[in-house]
Amino acid sequence: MSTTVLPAEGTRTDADERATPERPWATVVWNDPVNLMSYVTWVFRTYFKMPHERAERLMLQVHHEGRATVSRGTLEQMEIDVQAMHGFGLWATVEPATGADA
Amino acid sequence: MAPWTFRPADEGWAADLGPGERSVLLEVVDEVLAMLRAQRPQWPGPTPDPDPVDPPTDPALRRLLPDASRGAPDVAREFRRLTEADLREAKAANLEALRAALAAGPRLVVAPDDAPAVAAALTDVRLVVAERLGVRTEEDADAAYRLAQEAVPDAETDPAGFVRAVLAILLAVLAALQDSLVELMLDALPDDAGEMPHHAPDEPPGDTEDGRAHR
Repeated sequence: MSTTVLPAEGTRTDADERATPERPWATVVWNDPVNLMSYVTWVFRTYFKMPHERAERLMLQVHHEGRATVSRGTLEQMEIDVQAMHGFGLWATVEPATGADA
Repeated sequence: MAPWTFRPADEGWAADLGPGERSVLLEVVDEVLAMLRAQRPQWPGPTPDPDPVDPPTDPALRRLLPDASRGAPDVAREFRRLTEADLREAKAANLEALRAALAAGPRLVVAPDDAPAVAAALTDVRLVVAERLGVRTEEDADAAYRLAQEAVPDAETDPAGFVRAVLAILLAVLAALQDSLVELMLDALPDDAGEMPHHAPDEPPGDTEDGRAHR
């Protein structure tokens, strides 16, 4: 959606660590210059059942910041979400949960 | 009215396409289908794969089947072994839905229930075309859209420029189709789709007729 600016691997030191034992993993969606903003919003609204405002906010976060956390849970749950995102043509990865967002 | 735009129709949502446009789109859909089915010893393949699965060497196919981890190659590799065959088949099913709608012509008609599969297929085709054009950044994407507005170079004297121009036009046409379709899909959603679940749905994508995950 916009220029992809990705953080260097392993340099993220998120002080706001709010991962819980029940939800230690996160699904992160990454920006790309091809996917349409309308489509990303639609995916977030339908797959994650997000309210309109939240879906749009996270879509814009992907667009402007290059990434957004869209769900949290166990590794197995996040792998299901990541596979679903790949099915929609969005690039998502499983990441250890940090405090930011979602 | 703008060309290559889905609008409400009796049968669902429909876009007018010329016969040449339909055959070009069919050709590129078939190419993406062939990519998904290539490099596999079996089709459909076993799930999960008993053996490790290497990432695709074609960057366009790798964009369709991306790594599931940026920092942990072992996680990405195991994820690929467990899911890649399913993902290829889900994407192929989406492309077959788009293919069937194109082949039924002359208009491209999509029933609302089929729209999620068609929209996903349009995404995958656009990802492949964009990768073939070398679109990696927003600036690249803007340049591709500008290229689509320009005159197409002569195929004899500038074959490479001709191919780039055709791909850029294809990308623009696919974007117009997809964006107009998705706007109709968004309009058809209830005002508030509800709260986000605390955990992931327990069904893989593609199992439901409308592409939605059920909790």
